[in-house]
Amino acid sequence: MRIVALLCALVPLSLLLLGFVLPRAEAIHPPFSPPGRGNLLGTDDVGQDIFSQLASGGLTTIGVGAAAGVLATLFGLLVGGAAGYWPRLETGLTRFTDLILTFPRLPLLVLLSLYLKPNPLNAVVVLALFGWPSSARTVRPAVSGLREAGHVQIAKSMNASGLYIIFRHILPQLTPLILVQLLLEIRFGMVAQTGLAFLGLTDPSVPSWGLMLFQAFRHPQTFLGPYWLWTVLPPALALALAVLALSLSLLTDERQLDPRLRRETT
Amino acid sequence: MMLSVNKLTVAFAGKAKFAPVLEDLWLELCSGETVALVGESGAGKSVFIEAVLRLLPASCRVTGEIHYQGHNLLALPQSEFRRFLGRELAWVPQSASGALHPMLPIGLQLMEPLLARGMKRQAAWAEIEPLLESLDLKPARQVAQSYPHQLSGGMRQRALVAAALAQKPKVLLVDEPTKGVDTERRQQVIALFQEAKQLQPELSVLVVSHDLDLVEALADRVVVLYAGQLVEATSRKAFFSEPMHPFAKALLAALPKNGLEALPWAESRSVTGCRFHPRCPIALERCQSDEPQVTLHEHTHVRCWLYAS
Repeated sequence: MRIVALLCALVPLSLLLLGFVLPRAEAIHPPFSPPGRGNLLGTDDVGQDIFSQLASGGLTTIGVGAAAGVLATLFGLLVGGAAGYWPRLETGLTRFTDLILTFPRLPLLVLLSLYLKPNPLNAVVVLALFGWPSSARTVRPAVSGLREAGHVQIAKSMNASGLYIIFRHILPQLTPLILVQLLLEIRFGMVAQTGLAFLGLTDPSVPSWGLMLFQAFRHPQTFLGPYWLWTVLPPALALALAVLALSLSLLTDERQLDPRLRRETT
Repeated sequence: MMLSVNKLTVAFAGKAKFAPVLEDLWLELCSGETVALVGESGAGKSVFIEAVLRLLPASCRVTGEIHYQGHNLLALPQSEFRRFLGRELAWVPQSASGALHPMLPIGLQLMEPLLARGMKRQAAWAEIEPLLESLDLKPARQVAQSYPHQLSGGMRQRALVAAALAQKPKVLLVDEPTKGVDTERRQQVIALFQEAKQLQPELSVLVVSHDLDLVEALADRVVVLYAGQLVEATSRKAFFSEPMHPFAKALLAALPKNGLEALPWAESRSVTGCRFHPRCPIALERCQSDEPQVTLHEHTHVRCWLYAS
């Protein structure tokens, strides 16, 4: 499973790396030219190289997803952890979390992108701002369960500080949980960013896989000939592989992180 | 005097009011002495240990005095109180499963309190290794590298004892060390504490148990709790040869098997007069209405109207 996940991740990750290196795609090639020597994956309707668009688009899509995922998980960890560890904060923070959770994220994102500037930073902020409650809700009961665990009580009886207990006793046991949450949030962020771009709600000067799809679908000629093969398929496939890699790694993580679930006997 | 407890009352927050779990407990533990706290389940034995170590939830109300070498532990601010944890007072908890960190190897868990005191890794291991060997956790290096789930329940229990002893405490608070341990291993546990005493003759031990074999083998003095109250405090010899309180007698006669019926927790607390009278085979009339006080009667402290002057 891990190998399949790695193989899936290979394509989006190498695109991500190339995104840092390759120059931005410019409309200097003949439009709709099929994959060939000059343009590895052909060109789009305005003559931009698909491959370099794919590379720089990956930077936006994966970047927005990862940043939103990290921020949302981190914030959820803070809120959920505080609610779980300090009983005094529990009710207030839980209610607040539930309140934020009632906002539907994607419609809200669509709505807000009409009012905010459609740049990637705003997408990250909105995704993170309304994405943390699910992490908080996952973390809170786990923390409050561990707060009373025997080994935490023993550590307390041996003069362990609160921070030591949190970082040595509680967080390591939550790592699989946090990691799963992080991957889920990254996945959601990537798909959400693509969705926004596909609806034409992002800045058209910032390349992304969603924007490529938007531009391809907008052109009436796309599905009349074989053109969709190189204008639609590559970004769709890149996104699918990225999502698949994340989903598959969700299955393998826990077994690696928890000594109780490791197969080999040490 | 290592530990002296005076008028200790522990109450848990109930729906309407605080429900006392321990009432007016007094207890003394001298240097090098072993005191056994015996009583039924729910008598408040474990709560006592948790109250000493401040492990009870914040909603609990603890009043009275717990003096340790001149300091009233209950009055100390948390930062000062923590100095006593580990080095002075160490705890061996009741349940061995869940009491060890599931994701850290045993050896590291045992060494961390020592490392936290600034000890070098090798020096800490030099402390731990003979301890593991003497507790029959052999080969020590292999045990130290294993995770708690790879050890048996008995081994985990012994690892917990090792964790407490590794800190070289002055007072060891032991909660039900033979709970869920078979007869053969029970002898091992008893031998373990005897050995610990030999290693550290000045170690004071407070052991909570309803295993009377263990009490007989280890204790110098016995304190009997019934429904949160002290009913008898005496020497081991007196407790086993001539127990005074009817409940102590019943305990020794391996009752309630012989006709003594257990009362539900709340019921045993709401009894007027002597709390034990509904179950007492020799209850007097005044036992139903008046609550007896603890009196001293031939070296034994006892709470019973039979011995009231």
